[in-house]
Amino acid sequence: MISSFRFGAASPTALLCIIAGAALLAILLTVSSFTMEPDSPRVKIGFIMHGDKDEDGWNASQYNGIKVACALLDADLDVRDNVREASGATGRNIQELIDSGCTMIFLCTYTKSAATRAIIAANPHIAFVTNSADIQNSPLTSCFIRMYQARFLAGALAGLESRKNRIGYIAAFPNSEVIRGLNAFALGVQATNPKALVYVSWTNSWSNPQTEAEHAHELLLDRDVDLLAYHQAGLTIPIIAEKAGIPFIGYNAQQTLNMDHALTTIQCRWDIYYYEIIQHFMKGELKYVKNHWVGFDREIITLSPLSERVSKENREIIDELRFGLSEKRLIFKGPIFDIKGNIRCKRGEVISDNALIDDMDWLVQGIIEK
Amino acid sequence: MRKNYIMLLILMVLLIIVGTVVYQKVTALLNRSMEQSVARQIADLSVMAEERFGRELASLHLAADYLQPYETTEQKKFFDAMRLNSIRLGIAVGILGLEGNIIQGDPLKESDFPRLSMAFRGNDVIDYHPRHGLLFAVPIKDQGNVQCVIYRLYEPSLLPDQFSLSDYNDDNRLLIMERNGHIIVPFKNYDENDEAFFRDQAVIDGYNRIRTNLATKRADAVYVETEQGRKDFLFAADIPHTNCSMVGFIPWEAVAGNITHINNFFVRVSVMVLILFAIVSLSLLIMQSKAEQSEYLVRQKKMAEKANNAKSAFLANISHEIRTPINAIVGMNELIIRESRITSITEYALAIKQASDTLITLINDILDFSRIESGKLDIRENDYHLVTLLRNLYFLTQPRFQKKNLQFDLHIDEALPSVLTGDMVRIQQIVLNLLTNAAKYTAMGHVDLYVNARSSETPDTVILSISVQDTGIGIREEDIPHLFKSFERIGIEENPTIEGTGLGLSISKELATLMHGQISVKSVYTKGSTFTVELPQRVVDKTPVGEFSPLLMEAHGEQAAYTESFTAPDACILVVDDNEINLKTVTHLLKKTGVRIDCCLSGAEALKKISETVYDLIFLDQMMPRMDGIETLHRAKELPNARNVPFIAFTANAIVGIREKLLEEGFSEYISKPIRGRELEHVLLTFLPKEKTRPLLKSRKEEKETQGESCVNKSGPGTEKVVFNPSTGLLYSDGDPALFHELSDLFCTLLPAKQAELEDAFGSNDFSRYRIAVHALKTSALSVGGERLSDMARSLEQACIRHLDRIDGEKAGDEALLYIQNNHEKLMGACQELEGVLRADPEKSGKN
Repeated sequence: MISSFRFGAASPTALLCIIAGAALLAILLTVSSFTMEPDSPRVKIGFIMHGDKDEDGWNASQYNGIKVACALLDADLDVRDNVREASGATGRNIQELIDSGCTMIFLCTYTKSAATRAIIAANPHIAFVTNSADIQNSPLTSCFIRMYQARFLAGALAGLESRKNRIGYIAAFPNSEVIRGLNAFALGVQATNPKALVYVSWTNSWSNPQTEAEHAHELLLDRDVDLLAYHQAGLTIPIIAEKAGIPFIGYNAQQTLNMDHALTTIQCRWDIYYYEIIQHFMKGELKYVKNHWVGFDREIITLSPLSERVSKENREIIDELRFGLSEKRLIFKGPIFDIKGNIRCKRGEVISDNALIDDMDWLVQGIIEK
Repeated sequence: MRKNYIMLLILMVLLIIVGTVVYQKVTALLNRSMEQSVARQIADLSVMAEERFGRELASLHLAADYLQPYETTEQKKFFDAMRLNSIRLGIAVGILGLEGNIIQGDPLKESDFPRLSMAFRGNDVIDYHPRHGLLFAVPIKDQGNVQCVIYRLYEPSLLPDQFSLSDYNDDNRLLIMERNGHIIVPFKNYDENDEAFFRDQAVIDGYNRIRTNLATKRADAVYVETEQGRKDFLFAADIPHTNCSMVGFIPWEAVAGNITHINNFFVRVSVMVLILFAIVSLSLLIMQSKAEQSEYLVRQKKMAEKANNAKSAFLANISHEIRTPINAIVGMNELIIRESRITSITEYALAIKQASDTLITLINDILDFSRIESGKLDIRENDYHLVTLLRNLYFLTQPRFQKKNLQFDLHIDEALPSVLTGDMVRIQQIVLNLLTNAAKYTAMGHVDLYVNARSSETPDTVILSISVQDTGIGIREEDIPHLFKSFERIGIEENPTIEGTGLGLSISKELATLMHGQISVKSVYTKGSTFTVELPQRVVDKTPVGEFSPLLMEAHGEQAAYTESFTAPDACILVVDDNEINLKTVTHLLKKTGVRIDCCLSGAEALKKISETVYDLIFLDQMMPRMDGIETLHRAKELPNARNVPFIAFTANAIVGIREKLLEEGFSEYISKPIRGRELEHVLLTFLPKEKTRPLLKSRKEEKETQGESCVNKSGPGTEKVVFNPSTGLLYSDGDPALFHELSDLFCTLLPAKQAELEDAFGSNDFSRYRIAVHALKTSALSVGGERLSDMARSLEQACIRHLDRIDGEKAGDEALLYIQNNHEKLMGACQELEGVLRADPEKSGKN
């Protein structure tokens, strides 16, 4: 009895206590390590851009914006840059991003091929977001900044600074986004200098330094413009203007801030912009966002501090206009005529956002096409 | 044990901690899961709220659609109608121009509603102002361009009725807040309690957490416990497209519902498990403590056994320690008895002898007892003559009874077989003990010894039955069960003077049991007792013993086989002992055998002697300084001279098992100290080469047949005193046959000198010297049982006194002289006669 009751030196109760204690500790560990699955899984964001993410200007500003936004919202980010338009790479990259678990994909390209559209349509569970407002079909959401507000201010500055009343504007494509910007610019010019004209030159490319250079020189030589503005991705125009000693207005490029002839540069807080969109997505509100259009009222868009070349009086004028915009000053307010003399907006009326997005295929009076 | 309890306690605490942790974890998980569930429900609710707002916008859109382009009078009339309808409900309605100017309806300050500008850009607007209320606005468009904006404004007081969403369930409290914290739609009956609730720090923290979470979530809920002990789920959801949130709380119980039962269930099960565990642990502890107790008992038992062994060893040691000096005393005393010419000293020495023997008996008792205790008491069975046993019993006890004036009668069944097999020594020990007890406890009356036999189941075996009946004090009935217990002496109060160890009966019973027999007692208190011992004994010779008379012992020849008296002048033995007294004792004891005896005091010396001489037998003391007996034996065995020589050990070490040990070591036999002549002779007879021993049996027997016959005849009728009365001799030896034998030897040795002295005194007519001589003869003759010689010596002594002192006159003195002259020769003859008897069988009464 005795011998069978003993296990080695330790008394059986002590042994039992130790075993039970160990078991309890194991239970404790198991219990404490048990956690519930988080109610909202981690979000992975896909980001497709046609330029190089490090290229100063449009591309780098976009990339930095999405990067900061994802970091703030604790979302994973998968960026595919140098996805050239019409190269067929867009569709493949979208598929890869979907396969890697992205639930939200930004398409920072303007044109979309049929193949791309097919992929988008085949993945209704993925939230696609694009900057271009002219294509809207679920699950594609278009979002953009009211860039035209900054262009309006830039135009106002150009009108003030142009001595010859001839302002050059190099633009990529005549789509509603570019036209909206151009029209707002022209309205800005007319707001400060009704005599001045805006000479626009279409390069039909977002980024083609050679073409851009050719067009810029043409405007300078043929049209004798004494101020350049542009709607292009890279730094070609600022460099040409700088070389030619012509004042210009920069667009989303850091380097232009240090250039002698830069009057100002349009700047965007892409981080805030992307933060808000992703936030909408996470909250499940994206379907309510027909178009996410934010501007001066949210301080997402602004002009960099004006060049010292700009006189104090002119600064005051610009500041006043800037204040008006932030206080919901309406830019596309009637009467507005197109270059053909047709009235597009009557006095007492204002062009609605929908019209701005969808129907802007006309140029306001005062714009001269090459 | 104590450690175990502490461990158990720790374990219980651990169990409680684990239970608590698990409970909390489960509660936390449940709450977390409930939080998620609440969040999902509130998300759904927010959709409902949105729809509610959407309905408002939709109705405005309907109006706007009708009103665009806003130009005609009919449209204005329609608006007026709509406005009238709204005013009844207390709702403000109006149409605003682009510059914020009021076109129709109620005025509105545009700057109070920052979101309103969105309406001018063509978007629907829901906006809230804490003072003015909730605003709904939609643009009125003309071909894509915004003409104006139609709005509807609900005063704050209207909101609860219009937008309260308390249809989640009865328990929840829900309100709509601006995202910056202003309450838009409070719940019904919003009171101080609710306000206090919202001011509670836990609630504020909870809502802050929710606010943080709402950055990436549609809706969220958290579980809080307020200072008042309320348990609630706080929740909130942003209403899309507006600057509004739905905010509220719901009591924990309302959400948990039946889950609370799970909690209770868990608690109950936990408590039960805890109790179960406690019970199991306790029973285990008890079991263990029991096991430890029995273990403790086993340990105690072992210790007791150890102590008992130690006691045995102690007894053995003590016996050794006592025996050694006794050995010296007995040995020296024996020499005194033999050599003393002075009667009084001889008497003193005899008294010493008697006391020593008592002491030895005592020690033997104790040794026997310790042997019995350890179960190592040997029963050595041999053939024996029954009559020897009986005679021994008689002679060893008769003097004692005589001394106490008790009548001692033997009742022997004549049909008893004459030769049996058994341990006679032990049987004798038992019966002697019974007889001694009878003598001790009987003050007057008689003691009877009954010996008979009955047949047993086994062939050739009889049950020998020996009963001792006395007329003593008897034993109380209640004392009988204690009778055979060790160290217990019955009636010690009544008989304080009776000495003894109290072991006698206990040893007797054990001995009887060892011999497969039994001992029983019948007793009547104050009347007497009968002790009966029954022992199975194998029959060797069925010849009946016939009539038994102790006085007719010479008629039985059975002792002839046991006669040790022998001479061996050719034999040569060596005695080794570091004690010179022992050497002397042995030398003297064996003097008459003529054996040549070499002595030495150490093992080394012995080895030297052995290498020089071939001995027939070697006595070796076991305990010697430097080289002990066993080592000496081993070394000696290596010598060629000692290869076949028997070695006999002397040992005072009477420990149980010593015999086996010594035999194992290579001794042929052992003799325990004190050394007695009889044992010595027995050993010599056994181990000396037969051709070297010449038993005196044959020649002496012949003598005995002639002389003994005459002796018997002379002791017949008409003769007052017998030549030789062994019982008288034994009486003087206190029943010790060995002593008797030694005294007889001594007497025979000294007799020629005494005779010469008497002859010399008689021849020279020195009756004074003669008187002294006969006086000595009188005493010494009586001490060896020579009653007749003693009587004659006494008469002659008295005659000498009469002759010398002339106390009865001259005539009487002369008559006395004549008596002396006439009887001197007779005395000499009597001397010869007694010597002859003693020499013929000097140990006839001591042989056993």
